[in-house]
Amino acid sequence: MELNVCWFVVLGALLAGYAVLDGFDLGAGIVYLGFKKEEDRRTVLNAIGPLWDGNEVWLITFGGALFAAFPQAYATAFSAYYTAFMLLLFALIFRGVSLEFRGKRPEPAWRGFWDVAFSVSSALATFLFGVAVGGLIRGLPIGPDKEYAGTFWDLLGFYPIVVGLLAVALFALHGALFLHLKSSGDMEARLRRWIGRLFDFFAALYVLATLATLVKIPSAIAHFHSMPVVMLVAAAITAAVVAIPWLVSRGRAAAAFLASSLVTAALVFLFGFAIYPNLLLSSLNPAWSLTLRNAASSHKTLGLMGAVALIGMPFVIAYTIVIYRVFRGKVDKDKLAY
Amino acid sequence: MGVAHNQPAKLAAFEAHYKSDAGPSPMWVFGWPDDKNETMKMGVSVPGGLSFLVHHDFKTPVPGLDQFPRQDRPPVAASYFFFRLMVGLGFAQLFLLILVGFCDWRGALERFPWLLRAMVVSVVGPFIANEAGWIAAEVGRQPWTVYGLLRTSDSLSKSVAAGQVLGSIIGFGLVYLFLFIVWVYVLGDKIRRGPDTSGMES
Repeated sequence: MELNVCWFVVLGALLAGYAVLDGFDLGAGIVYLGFKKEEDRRTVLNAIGPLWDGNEVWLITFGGALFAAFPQAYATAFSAYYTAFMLLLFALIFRGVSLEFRGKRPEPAWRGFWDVAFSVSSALATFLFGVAVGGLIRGLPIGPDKEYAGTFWDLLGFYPIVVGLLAVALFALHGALFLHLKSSGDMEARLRRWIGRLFDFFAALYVLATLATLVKIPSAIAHFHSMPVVMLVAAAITAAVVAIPWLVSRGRAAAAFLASSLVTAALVFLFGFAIYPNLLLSSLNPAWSLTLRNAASSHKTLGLMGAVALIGMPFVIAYTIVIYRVFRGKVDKDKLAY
Repeated sequence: MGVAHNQPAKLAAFEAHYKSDAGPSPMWVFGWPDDKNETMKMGVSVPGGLSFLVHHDFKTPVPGLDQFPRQDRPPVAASYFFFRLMVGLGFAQLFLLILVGFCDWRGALERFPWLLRAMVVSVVGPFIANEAGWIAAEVGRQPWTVYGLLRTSDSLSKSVAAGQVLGSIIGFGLVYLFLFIVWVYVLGDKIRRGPDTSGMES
């Protein structure tokens, strides 16, 4: 396989890894304010506490790999999404510190402030990710000079907002399934009820987003005609989606969480498949798009990075497995650290 | 020294080394850089000091700012002062540490309460030194983003408006100011309560 294509696939894998991993802790943040009891809130924080920052490393790696492999696309995208990125950074900053600061003082006002900061920033970050993905599928006003020619408002619109809401629904469901796996007693039972409602919310948006894609973005569908095998992925997603409430009702919490992980990863795959070989599709003229060829680094750089990635990845995978093994099982209410 | 080799104009600005010499290059200990006349006002220097730092001898000259076209020179005063602030704070911390270590070794530390107060104040030293060093490194590299290859004026994003950049700077300023206040409050609270000894007894 050509190096440029390899790096497109690696970026897709990093994004999928990020969505699956950080997706559940962002989602835990989205549903967080639904818990009213202090003990339940602390259980949420302790469920994701040891894991969330490791998960966010995938986002940083994705940004770094995009910068090194496709610098032109990185530059244009980060400039186009400049203000949105600042919002994302502020959200991620507040999310990180609220986890740390919340437990430092006992006053309800103090804790309440960081609780709201944690939940709102989780939802905002997720929504912004979704809007960005929607914008990339729909295309951005990119001129012949490979520069973004629009404004902040051109990043919005019906389709990106639908995808943004889909991301919020997906992560909320994914996060609730994770917490369902990690909690016990009352909290577990409450989560089971929530999962039913979150599932309906997600299913409705999933159908809406699919219809919107079919109607508004015919180019994204064109690929499916040339490679009908990918229809199987779409079918697998639907099967996994349908399986989630069934698995939850039978008490198979781990399998249900695995199913939502699969759905998340497969949606990222479909996103990559829909935009390939473009990284940034120009809505003004398809010929002005930034592709995995005209936006790439030199062959030498891509090769060098490939060697580094092959050496580094086993370590990342190894420590990820170790951490998830150490913190497996239900949250122990006698050993809350957050 | 890496800077002398990779970014010679930056080193010259750090040291306010305006004029190249035929012989050994001196190093300023004190002085006020005067960009207009390209001289040091009230300068006191160690003869051959800069030559020694860069080449480990007191003879070899170090290129001064006059070796670089005027449009390729960084702002000297800011580079010079922030670099000195970083180095000065570093040495001050080291000196304080040695002094405190010595007094403690002689068992006389409690006779000098001002030393203990100085230790408390010195907590902010590394933060300031860190920021000052960062500013010196960034200002000293001007007018380049990538030294000798890419000018700062050429590396601006075309599609990011000045207002967006200003907005993000103000936004970051406010967020960090808020977090700094919270941090000081939480830290002060922790210090007042003292160290947690419950886990240390066994």
